[in-house]
Amino acid sequence: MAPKETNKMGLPNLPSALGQIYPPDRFLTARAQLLPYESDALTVFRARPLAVVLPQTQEEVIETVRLCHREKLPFVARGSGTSLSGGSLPIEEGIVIGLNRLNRILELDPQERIAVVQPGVINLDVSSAAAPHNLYYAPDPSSQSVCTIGGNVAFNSGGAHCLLHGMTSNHVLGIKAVLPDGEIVRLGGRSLERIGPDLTGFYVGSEGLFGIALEITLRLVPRPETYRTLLAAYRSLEAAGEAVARIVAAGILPGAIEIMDRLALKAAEAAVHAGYPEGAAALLIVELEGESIEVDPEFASLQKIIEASGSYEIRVAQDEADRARIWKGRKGAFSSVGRLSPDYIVQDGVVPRSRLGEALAEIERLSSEFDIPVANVFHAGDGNLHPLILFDGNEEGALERAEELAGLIVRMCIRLGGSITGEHGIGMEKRAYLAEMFNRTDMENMIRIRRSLDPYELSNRTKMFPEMGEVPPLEAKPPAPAIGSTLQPKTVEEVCQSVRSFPSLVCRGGGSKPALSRASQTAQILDLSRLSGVLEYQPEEFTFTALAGTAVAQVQQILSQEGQYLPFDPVLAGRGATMGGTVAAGTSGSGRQRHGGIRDFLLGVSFVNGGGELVRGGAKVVKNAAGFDLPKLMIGSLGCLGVLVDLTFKVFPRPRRYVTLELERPNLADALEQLSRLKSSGFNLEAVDLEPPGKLWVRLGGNSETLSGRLDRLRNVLGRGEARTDEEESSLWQRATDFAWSPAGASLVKIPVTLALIPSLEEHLSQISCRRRYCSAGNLLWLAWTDALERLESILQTLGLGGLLLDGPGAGPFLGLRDGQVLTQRIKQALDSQGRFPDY
Amino acid sequence: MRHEIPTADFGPYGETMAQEVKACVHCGFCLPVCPTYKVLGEEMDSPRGRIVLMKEVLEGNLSVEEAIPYVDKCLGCLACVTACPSGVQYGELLNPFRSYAEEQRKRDPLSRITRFMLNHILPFPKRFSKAAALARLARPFRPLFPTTLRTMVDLLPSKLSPRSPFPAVYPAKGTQRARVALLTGCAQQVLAPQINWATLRVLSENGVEIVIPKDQGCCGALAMHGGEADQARGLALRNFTSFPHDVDAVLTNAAGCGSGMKEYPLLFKDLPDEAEAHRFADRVQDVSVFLKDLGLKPPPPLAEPLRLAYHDACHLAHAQGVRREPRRLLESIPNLTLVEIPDGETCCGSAGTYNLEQPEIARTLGERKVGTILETKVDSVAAGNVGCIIQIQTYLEGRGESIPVLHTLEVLDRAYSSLRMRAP
Repeated sequence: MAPKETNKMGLPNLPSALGQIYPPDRFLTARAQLLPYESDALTVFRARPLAVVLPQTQEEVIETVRLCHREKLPFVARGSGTSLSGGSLPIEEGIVIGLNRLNRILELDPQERIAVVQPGVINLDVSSAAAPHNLYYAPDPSSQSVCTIGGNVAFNSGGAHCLLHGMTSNHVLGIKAVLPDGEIVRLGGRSLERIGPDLTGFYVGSEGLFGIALEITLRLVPRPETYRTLLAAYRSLEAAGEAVARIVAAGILPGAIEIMDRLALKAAEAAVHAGYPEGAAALLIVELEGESIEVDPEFASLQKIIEASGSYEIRVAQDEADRARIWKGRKGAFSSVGRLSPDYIVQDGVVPRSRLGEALAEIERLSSEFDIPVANVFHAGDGNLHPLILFDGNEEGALERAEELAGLIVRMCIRLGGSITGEHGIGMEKRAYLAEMFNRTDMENMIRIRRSLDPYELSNRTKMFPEMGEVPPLEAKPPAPAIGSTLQPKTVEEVCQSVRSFPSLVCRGGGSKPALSRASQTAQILDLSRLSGVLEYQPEEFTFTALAGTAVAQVQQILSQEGQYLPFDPVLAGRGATMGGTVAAGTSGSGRQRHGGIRDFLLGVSFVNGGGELVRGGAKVVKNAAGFDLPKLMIGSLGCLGVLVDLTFKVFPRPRRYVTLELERPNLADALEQLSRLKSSGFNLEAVDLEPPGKLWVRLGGNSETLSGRLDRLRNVLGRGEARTDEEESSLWQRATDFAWSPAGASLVKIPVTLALIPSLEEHLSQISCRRRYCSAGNLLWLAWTDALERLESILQTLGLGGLLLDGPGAGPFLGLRDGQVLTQRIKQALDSQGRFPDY
Repeated sequence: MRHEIPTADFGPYGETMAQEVKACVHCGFCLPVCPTYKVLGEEMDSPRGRIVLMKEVLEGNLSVEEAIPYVDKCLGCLACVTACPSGVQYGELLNPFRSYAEEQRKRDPLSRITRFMLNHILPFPKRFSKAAALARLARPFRPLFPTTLRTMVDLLPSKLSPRSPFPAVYPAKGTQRARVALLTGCAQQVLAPQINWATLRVLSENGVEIVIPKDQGCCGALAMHGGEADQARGLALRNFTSFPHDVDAVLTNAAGCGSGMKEYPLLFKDLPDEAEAHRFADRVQDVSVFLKDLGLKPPPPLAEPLRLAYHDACHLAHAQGVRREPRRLLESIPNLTLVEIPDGETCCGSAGTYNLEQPEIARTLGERKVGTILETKVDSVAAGNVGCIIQIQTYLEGRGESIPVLHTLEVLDRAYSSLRMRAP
């Protein structure tokens, strides 16, 4: 980089062109204007930028980023400045781009259940806008009354309801962004499904390193019919932790489980006067949500469990006001410790839930050893801890000692098999620890991806990554077949060797999706079916890890023995689909209706990049915000970016029984109307499929006691229909996920859609004889195409849709439109510069 | 937050101000409720940002001149105090800081004229009466005035009612249940004397005898919140001596006055009269709280059903935590339907004399408040503060709306008036 002109402080001069974009009142350079921006909620760090600019339009943001790129001026985007990891800390030689004025909700579509928002929209305002339609935006970080969606996207913010609902990335369907070099990309869309790598998911949590999100398409969900909330006071943290274990063991899946310890309670009570029970060493908050018909009996079971758990005082929220009071104290807990101490560092580590007790005991021990008080607030449901380390910055050495204690806690989380951050992100604060959670190779791969998008590191420079020294580009070694290198590896090391040995490889698992694993003149098949076996399974943690070549059917069997399952319902299990192939293809099935698709359950991956390096991403715990979300990148990547070798998933308790209502509606319009009504009903449904014009299957799952009541309720909405149960019912769905309805010789195509697009799509498709089935209440179409593929291509182009060919002839697997190819290309440069893997 | 404020340099308020800076953890929960942050959208005009600026000035890193434009734009509405999880008492940083800044800064001539008028004319009803009469004469020339003076002229009601002197004691009707003293206020006596009379009648109807000390004066809140601590102390001392000690409470019907008088202990910190200030402040109550606690005599129905929006004055809701009592009183009137104003806790822009010192922002807020009121489609608005009433009235009229804006006590008075008409 050429040295810039500098002023007398050694800092670069501001480009004058900046003053042409912004009038003086939105171009802040005076000392009194810059001082308030020097810090975010992590006040131990302060830095004064050269200027702060306050754009009012998307165009101004784009112009600014392009100017920064031209002038090699680093920039930091900022929403409300509430980051607890220093994510929006300014850089002295750069500018701050304040996005708070881009605060419009551009669109809110209650039928499609989406909202398109600008980055400065406040999190809670999305739910407020959706409330009249009985919808809300689920991710609820405690700062939601002030934090912005842009910030949530950058840091993949969490909140108290992550176990059930996931994090921000599970609720972002599409992003329009300006990359650090000024290129505009559009990722994802309005459908819950997608083809190609999950770039939207990958963008979320990139901590501002990938430029600035300008428009964000959010998923809205129906407000649960009921919340049942209780709080229970315990005389020890251990007892509270034990209660949590019992709740989980009983197969209950709460919306939220939170614990506050004595010190945190003291602060929260002083702040909010919620009337929390006095003298508690630990306070447990448990909340169930959903339909009354299911939740009420479940809550009764929960109460029994709590009563037997040794709590000395239990309170049940009687109404919404009670519930709000319980949560107010918890949500204000961090800030309320300001009453106890002038300064604090809040940590954000994650440990496997079963090791929470151990983690807390260790924190207490360290707190005594250092003689520094630590208040604990944490998401007991997902193992995400928030130790609040209290100190007085005016005391000599207090900050340093507090940071030392913080570091030991972070290391403990790594040691216990967790993560260094569950939701606050790395920011400035935990950079050094990223290199302890991931090894050198993992770090280099992430940095290469970063530099492929931002070679000068202008976008949020100094965040996330510590100083790494020299990171060479991916080695351009020619293939060197070694003795014993095989195209049927049985171990991870053999996979690495294969990639190093062969010039051009296409992965194949079980061969269930032939169009995705086709050999060619140059490309050889890398058969991963021998790389098989479950590596780790912890039912009480809701996690399991398997080698990529493990058959889906085998995994399903193992899980069902523990009463658990894969909620994303992978397809083609009966045709030999493997876990790796499922992720690489991104093929979730009808069952994704209830809890989500692959992106909502894949926690961690290991893969081999084009240089034969083994790279890890994600973690083995259900909540993790450390590093780039490589697992999401791999979903739908078709083996173009790397060879998957092992995968870690979140699993859920399996419904005990199922019943399916099958009905025939008179025409398509009527059937779509029923789908709409089902969506607004807020019923929990396992699957909602439609075979045009009017054949519907609606699947319910749950406890036997409530199932018939729920079926009656469903019939009241939809009409009588036929109720299928037991074996007849399960084989019905088995045939669906294996596409038994697709005629021999047809091309099988996956097409993400939305309910609103179905009428126009059907206008084209109904003229052609092709079996097809819409899943997930109209978000996903499986098409058995028997005509010429060019015809389908033309239809998809006309309607702005994309398709993935799973089986059938064709030049490549993609049809129609694809998103974000600019981004994919750059990432491929970083992960597979040699082009070992396909480039579809 | 960490700070390096040399507290000894700032007299008794050094510790006070430093304490509030210390309590702030820079979390930002105050931003979404701050009216100036909503309007201006920049960190310097938010409570969190202002705390940083005041800290830097007190530490000696920033001059008063640089920071003061942003501190000046603060409404002092204390919505941030309501929202703050850390319990920062923002007012205890703001007001002492403003006093300190007043000594340090240079004001331009127009600003000095404005402040002269606010400090030496507004608090004194006789002077203010004459000035108001003059101002109304000058109305035709208003387009020539600078914004501040124009705004002052605009805010004057179209008619100024004649003022009648108060009796020394206003008797209770029927069995006496309590005995109180009433602060009659300053600007209110000129701009809306009917509020005091309605207050007296309603209290009397409820069996309360009211003492109206003749020698009382302005409570000093405007001076206190405007950085004129010495003047405020002078006014407070006058009231310490003129109010009797043998009453159940010292009542006020103005939110600004109530909150100001409750800050007397801070005003007299480390001074000889501190104990007296505590004693006085402990006896101060907003009349709505007093009546609620006493138990309101059930009012008869209004002549016609009324949809009424209750507006929370910041100095009642945020400064004193008084939200429930006025609502309960109003709800006890049969055939009155109480309606909540959307975004009700956001300041109307009156904020003491803010609408005179920061007319642009006050206008934006006034228009927003009136916009949200009109969404409710009510017949009438009630509020517990004369400043709010005038501000809302002005902006309603600006929209061509003629919805009456009344004091809470005026609404109660109207309900009771049918009793009086029926009495033999």
